[in-house]
Amino acid sequence: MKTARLFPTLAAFTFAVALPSISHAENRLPTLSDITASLARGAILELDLTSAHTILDATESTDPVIAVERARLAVYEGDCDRAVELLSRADLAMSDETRHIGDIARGCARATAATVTIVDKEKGVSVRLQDDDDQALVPFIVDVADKARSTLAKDLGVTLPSPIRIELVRDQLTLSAVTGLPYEAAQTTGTVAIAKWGRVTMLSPRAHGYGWMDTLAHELTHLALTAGTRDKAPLWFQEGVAKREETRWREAWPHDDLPNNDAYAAVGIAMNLGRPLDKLGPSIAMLPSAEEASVAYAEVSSFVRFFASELGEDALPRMVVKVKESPADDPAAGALKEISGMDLAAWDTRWRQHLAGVPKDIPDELKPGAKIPNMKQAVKAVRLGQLLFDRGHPRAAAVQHSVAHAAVPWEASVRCYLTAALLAEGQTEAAKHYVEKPEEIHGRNGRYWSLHGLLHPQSEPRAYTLGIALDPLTPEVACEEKPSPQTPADPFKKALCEAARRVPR
Amino acid sequence: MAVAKPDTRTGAQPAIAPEWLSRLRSSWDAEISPSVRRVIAALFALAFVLLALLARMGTQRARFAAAAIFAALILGAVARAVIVRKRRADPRRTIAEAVGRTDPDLSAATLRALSLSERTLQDDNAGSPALAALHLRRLLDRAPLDVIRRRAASLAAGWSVAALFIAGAALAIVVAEPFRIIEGLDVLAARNGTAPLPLFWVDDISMSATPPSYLHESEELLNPFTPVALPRGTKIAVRGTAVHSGRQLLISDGRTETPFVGDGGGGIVAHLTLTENSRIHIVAAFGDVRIPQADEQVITAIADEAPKVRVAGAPRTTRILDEPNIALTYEAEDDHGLREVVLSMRAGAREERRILSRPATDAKTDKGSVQLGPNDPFFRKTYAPVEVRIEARDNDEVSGPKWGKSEAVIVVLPQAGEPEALRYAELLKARDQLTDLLAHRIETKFDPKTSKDIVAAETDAQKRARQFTMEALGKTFAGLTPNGRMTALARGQWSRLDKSLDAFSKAPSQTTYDKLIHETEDALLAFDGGLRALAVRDTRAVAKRLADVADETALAAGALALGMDTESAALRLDASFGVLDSGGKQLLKLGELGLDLGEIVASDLRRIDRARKPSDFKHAELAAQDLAARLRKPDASFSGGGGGGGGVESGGAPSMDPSEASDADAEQAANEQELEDLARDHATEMNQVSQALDRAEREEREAIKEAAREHAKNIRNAVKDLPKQGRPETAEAEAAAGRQEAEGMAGSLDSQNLKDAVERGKEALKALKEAKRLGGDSFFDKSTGQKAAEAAETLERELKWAEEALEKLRKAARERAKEELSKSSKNEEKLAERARSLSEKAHRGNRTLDQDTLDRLTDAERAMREAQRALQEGDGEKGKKQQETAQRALEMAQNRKDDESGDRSHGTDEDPRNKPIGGKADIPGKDKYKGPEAFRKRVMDGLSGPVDPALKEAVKRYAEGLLK
Repeated sequence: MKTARLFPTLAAFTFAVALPSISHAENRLPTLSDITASLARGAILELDLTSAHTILDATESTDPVIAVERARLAVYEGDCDRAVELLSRADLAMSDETRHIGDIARGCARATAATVTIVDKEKGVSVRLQDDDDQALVPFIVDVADKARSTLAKDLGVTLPSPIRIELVRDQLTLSAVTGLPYEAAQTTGTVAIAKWGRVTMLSPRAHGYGWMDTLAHELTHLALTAGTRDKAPLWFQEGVAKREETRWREAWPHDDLPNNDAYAAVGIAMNLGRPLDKLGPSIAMLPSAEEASVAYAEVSSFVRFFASELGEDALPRMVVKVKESPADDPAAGALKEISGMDLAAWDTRWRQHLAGVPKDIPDELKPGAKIPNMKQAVKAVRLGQLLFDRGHPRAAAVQHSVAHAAVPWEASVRCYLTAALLAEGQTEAAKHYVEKPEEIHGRNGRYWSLHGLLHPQSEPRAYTLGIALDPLTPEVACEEKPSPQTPADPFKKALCEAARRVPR
Repeated sequence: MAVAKPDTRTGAQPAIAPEWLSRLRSSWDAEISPSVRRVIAALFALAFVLLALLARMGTQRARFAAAAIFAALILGAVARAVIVRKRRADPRRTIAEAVGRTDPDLSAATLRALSLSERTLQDDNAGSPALAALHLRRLLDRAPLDVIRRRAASLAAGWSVAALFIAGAALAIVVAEPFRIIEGLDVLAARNGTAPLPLFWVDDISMSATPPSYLHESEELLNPFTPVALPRGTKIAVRGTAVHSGRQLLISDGRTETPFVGDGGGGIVAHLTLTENSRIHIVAAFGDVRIPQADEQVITAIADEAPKVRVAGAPRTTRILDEPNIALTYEAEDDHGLREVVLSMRAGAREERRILSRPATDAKTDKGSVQLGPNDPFFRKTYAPVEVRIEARDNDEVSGPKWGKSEAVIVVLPQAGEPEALRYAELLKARDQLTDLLAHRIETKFDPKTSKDIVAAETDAQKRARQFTMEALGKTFAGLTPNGRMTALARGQWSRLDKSLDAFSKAPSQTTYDKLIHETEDALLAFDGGLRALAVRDTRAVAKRLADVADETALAAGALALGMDTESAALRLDASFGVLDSGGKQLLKLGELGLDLGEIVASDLRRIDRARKPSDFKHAELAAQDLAARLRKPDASFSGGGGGGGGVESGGAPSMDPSEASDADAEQAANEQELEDLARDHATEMNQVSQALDRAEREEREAIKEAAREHAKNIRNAVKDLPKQGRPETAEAEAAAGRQEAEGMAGSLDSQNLKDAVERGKEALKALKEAKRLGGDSFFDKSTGQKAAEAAETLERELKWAEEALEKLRKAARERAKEELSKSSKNEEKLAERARSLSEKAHRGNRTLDQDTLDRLTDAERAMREAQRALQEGDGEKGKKQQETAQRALEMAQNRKDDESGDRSHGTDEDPRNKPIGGKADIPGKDKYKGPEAFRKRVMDGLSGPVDPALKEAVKRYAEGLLK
């Protein structure tokens, strides 16, 4: 049944895309195995794994090209052991691609061996945890994934298939091993997540507190774009749309547009840190520095925002469809022209003209590669304050943190240290001042929001949630500043609080 | 019996009266029976003798046959008696035998009458029983008893003759070899292969015993058949004379038998080796049967005992953390001799044996002591308790060498990373002291009115904190010594604080107090920075060790997955799992990176455990491989991107990274590197000067080559009559020493090494003068004393020549090397500048070094400047000497305790100290950097000759190093 239903689509794909590409690439007539493999690969890239299974199961061929696609499918399904087994055949010619899939399969098999997988069938989300102690994060992950799927369906016209596969890994080394991103590149740019091989692989916030919820939405956008365009979307489109979508799964939060992407991109380009949109390389995570990566993100975000605002909300879904359908070598260029009548170069010119007019008044400390004049002094004072606080000298600690605060008044973490020291000193009123106005800080900090929630409960009712979205495994944040053994009333937040308290310190 | 029994039916009497029949039988038997019995007796006698001879063959079959035949004979005799008795009761047989042989007709008529009589008794119709009986009686009465007797007598005579012949044959056999019959009967009666009756086989017995050769004891004569105790392995010889020839005689201890052989002198001899307690008999072998001689030699075998080994304090269990140096004092003894004493260490499947001693020829005791330290190679990569014993092997050549073992000392090794964690904890406490000091200063309000009290309080608080810090830095943990850089850093910071406190004490004011607070802050940050860096280095080192353990876990799980060697693999899996578990817990104590990696270890161990519990060993193997790979990259789980909290996918804003609060660790590393570079470059320059001088001297030496050889010849001639050796403290001994030194001087002159020639010449002269003095006191030594005096005179002249030649040579060489020395002078000046610059930098902030190191640097700079001046003036010798002084000072400034020496497994290749600080570093060529070699040479020179006061410290350190 399935094969019959699939046939017209697959046949069309075969004659329109697969056959020409095969014959062109290898300069020979394609065999039946080549065609089957190509069909399966197309289905896999569209995340239509059921169809891919149907295609591959229908053939009994042991041809190497079929074996490779079977291995690819296994990797996409998260069955890395099977992928390793399939690729262990001695007769498989080790092309670069085969070797690459083999490396990924082996890395994945190692990293996921004996791990815990939690599946929410109702919401169609599967979460594999390298560290089983991260289970408390799963309800939040499922919630974000579910909301993001709805948003992406609406914004891009792509519905992510069930289950959405999410893997939470413990460190960048594993992130690198299971995705193929070079480890050094991950370390250089501080990569925390990758959407590849039909799943989102992200770093556990246990390793490093970061905006993990938005990151998940960002990566799910990549998955949707990959599926929707059959992995033909260019990097600028991928990243630009992902940056746009990373906050659209939820209502707006403070600091969402800090710094403003237009302004940041303009400043970055002025500082020669920008790159042409079509010269971003294979991945922003592989750019040579974190500064360049941040400017590149701002560029593509700004561009896509400009593009969408110019053409309307339906421009993006149309673009997705056109990119997928385009047989050209550069599908996005064709799609862009088809939708807007202009090519990328023309759009680039328009966008740069637009940037020239945007205000560039972002604070110095938020500029790309900013060197903060008093940062060294502040860091010293903060460290002294930490040492004094941990040793039970909150008053002396507060003195040091005050020095740091004076040097970098916009730094949220310093305000948190100072507030905590003052609270320990019993100076609650003085402490309140430092976490009262979110607009005074530049940056997102989980502890800031938990302290804000504690000291200004009426000001921002979502404060604790904001804290968890940024730093879920810091006990004060996860436990809403409650002293142990008190926990939040919400059962998910209670579990998270308990997990945070279990983290060795 | 119809004859004897009356007929109960009729009441008639039997046909023949028993008494009549008896009379008839008696007439016959009275003649025949005695003769028949004689024959039977003779036959039995003959059979007995023959059967004895048959049994004597001793084989099982022969003995069985003899016994069977004898039994058959007995049975035959009994059967015959029964038959004869039966025949006697039969009237017909009696009538036929007795009457029939003399009157057959009468016999037949009598038998018919008997039949009739019997028939009438049973059948009334057969006739009258009385008439028939009467007829029978009448016929019987007609029997000729005399004739019957005669006939019987005739037969009896024949039987008697036969009996006589048979008996004669038996007697003849017995007479020919009567002892054989006894042997045969003895053999026949044997049970379990041994005859019951001991016989006498060997006479004139003598015995000797030869102990085994390794006992080095001589042969001993034994008192035959008297109980004796002899060492196991003794060879026993039994000599004697055979009593009976033709017997196979053996000596037997019940287990082994050795045949007697002719000793060439008419006697016989047999040898037996004693293996255990024995009862020795002489036996004769008859087939399978042994007939022993009654004598018995009881010998107690003295066993060679296994050596006994005692270790003081054993058995005991000790933790290497509590007892870093475990002294094992042992005493081994053996009853005969020790061959080898070894130290045996076992941990799980690993075992190592180290020879401690091989005692001199068969020493019976051996004492010694061995010390095990935490850095013992066996303890590396081993985390299981180690069973340590001293074992000794004896020299037993008989039953093979035996090992004796001491009680065990169980050494509990620290868990992986435990020493590092303990050291870190101790240093944290020190940091806490410094933190408390800072808190106190921040919270103290300076009041000029109470400044004295504040000064006193601050001084006291600083002193206590400093003492605590230094104590913490002085501790070792299972061989893990204090970290050199951390120690240098702490000393430098305390030196800095001391100066600041001193300034405050001298002029207490708000300004000086603020300065003191500021310095305390910086010192705390520097200490904290150093400590964090140390924790990172330690974490990385421990992680890499644990990576090896994780590999072992993976291998074990892999073996189980394949079903290979399951028992051993399961044990290895459990053991390595335990080590990872405990090591991971130690990592958690090692600062931020340790927490990060420790948490990963715990998480991955849960994965391994989750897989291995349901025997899913394949996934356990993969999880262990994953952990090993992670531990081999002991980086933080997240890095890069500025560390901001708000980044998505990658990147982020700059944040407050505590590791940036102080770069004290890097600056200390820079200090170390600069100092090392300076020492290396200075050593190279020193070498250049030395080579320049050598080159110049070599050319000058060529000029005096012939003259030096002539003088060498003179010296040899002068000492040729002196003795080559002598008893200590005699003129001969001194003269011999003088001769040796003088010949050495001659050798040096041959090679134009004037400096060495002068030094040896002085030593020779000293010894010869002493020989002359001693020679004067002794009558017997007088001649030697005189010879020594004469040689001394010649040597004195030659020494003077050598000294003058050396001076001339130096002067000429100086002129020749002037240009090169001038160049070196400029280089030396640059090096002095570097020393000064380093010293200045080391007075500031995080680079502050302690006063001792600064003093050394100042000394080095001073000596370099002196050297520079001397070299500028062309005084190469002086310049070189000053260079050596400077080099020593630099090396002493470099001196630091290397914490990695205490690393139980690996060097810390992550230690930035092992790497250039940044940029490119010049790698000196193999011939360029002579520092260590030159240092060693200088110290060896110092050790071998009179100690230069300037070398005292170096000599002491080197000697300590040798001792270690």
